[in-house]
Amino acid sequence: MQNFCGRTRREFLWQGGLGFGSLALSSLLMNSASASTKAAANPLAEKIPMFAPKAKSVIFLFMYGGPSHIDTFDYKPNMVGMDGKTVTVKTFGRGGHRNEGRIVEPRWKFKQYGQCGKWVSDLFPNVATCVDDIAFLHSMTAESPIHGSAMLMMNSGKILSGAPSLGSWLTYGLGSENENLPGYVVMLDPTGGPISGAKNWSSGFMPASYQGTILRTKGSPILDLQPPAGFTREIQRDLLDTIEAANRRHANSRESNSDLSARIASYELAYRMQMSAPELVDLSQETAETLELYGVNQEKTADFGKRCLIARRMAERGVRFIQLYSVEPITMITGTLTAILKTITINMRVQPISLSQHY
Amino acid sequence: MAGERPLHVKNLHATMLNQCGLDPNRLSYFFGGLDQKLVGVEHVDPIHEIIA
Repeated sequence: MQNFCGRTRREFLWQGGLGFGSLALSSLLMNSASASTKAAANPLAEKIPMFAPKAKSVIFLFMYGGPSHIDTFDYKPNMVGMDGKTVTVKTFGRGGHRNEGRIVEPRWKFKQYGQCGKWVSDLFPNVATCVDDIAFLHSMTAESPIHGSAMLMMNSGKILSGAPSLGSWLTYGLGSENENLPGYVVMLDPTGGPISGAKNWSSGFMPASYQGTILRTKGSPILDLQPPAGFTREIQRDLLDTIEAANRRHANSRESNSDLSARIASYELAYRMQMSAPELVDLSQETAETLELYGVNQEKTADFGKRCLIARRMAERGVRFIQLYSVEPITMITGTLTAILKTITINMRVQPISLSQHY
Repeated sequence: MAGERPLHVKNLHATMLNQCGLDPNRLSYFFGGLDQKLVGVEHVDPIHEIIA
């Protein structure tokens, strides 16, 4: 229940001065209030789904700024030979709504693959081998042609910021299976981005415990996780216990303040993550064959492959939502079309994506 | 085909929540006087054609 007056129901009754009747009523209300605060105590506690789920975790590979769909998975043979022609069709680009558009024909050849006969371009020879296990959605529509707002829409359902992202909704609805790791993790591209930054994994109007946690693949996995030298785990435990005692005393008179109980829970999570995060990113436990399949040993695919492998390890350990960003700096290039196309060919680092069938 | 069956990000989100065992039209968080949902105020169906 929500607190519109900024005080508990108990306080309201006391202050309302309703006499002995309020004593009885308030003790009844006190019991129901304490039940709800137990739930607020750990917002990431595992919750039961509404019906039997088919999936336990989501790994979201967000490769924004990529080549056009007609160069990747959407076969448009009628466009070949029409390069440069202007046709009458409603378009919505960065220039606004227009009634005509200039065609750029597909630059790569397409072939059919798999039992379903899906047409895939030559840019994706590895992913093409898995087409029978992939669902392609070719009729998605968007409301914004701009990277920033379109990415916010993909992440939160709204083109303006301020709404919780998909990972926040999932951890809110299901909690996290592993209490030693965050339930919602984001791994970024080392070259930069994404556009709009932290708004893409924000918890919006939900408590901050539901926002994404950045996990780095170079150096320490989570910034500021390890305490300074000389600060042993025992000292840390003692400090946390003392802080928690003080916080609980404070929380007793503020039972409905979920921020406070979330803060207490987050200290505990950070304490546990110090042990679990280094183990998570330690790839020495994986076989050489796995590392090879994920492209960790090839320079072009090393970074993305490593992140995909860590994402898989996180899913195995019960992390609910993992998002990987990978950017092709195409929109950053202001050169000619040829230069852009050359960059696409060089930067295709898609080997790890075809690993879906191995996982 | 692109022109038939236009889909919105809401449908994709609804599908993902559905696969994880959550009803996209019932999962809500109370804020600003409204039961806010990821898929917005109108009923949104998951994309049943791609669900095995």
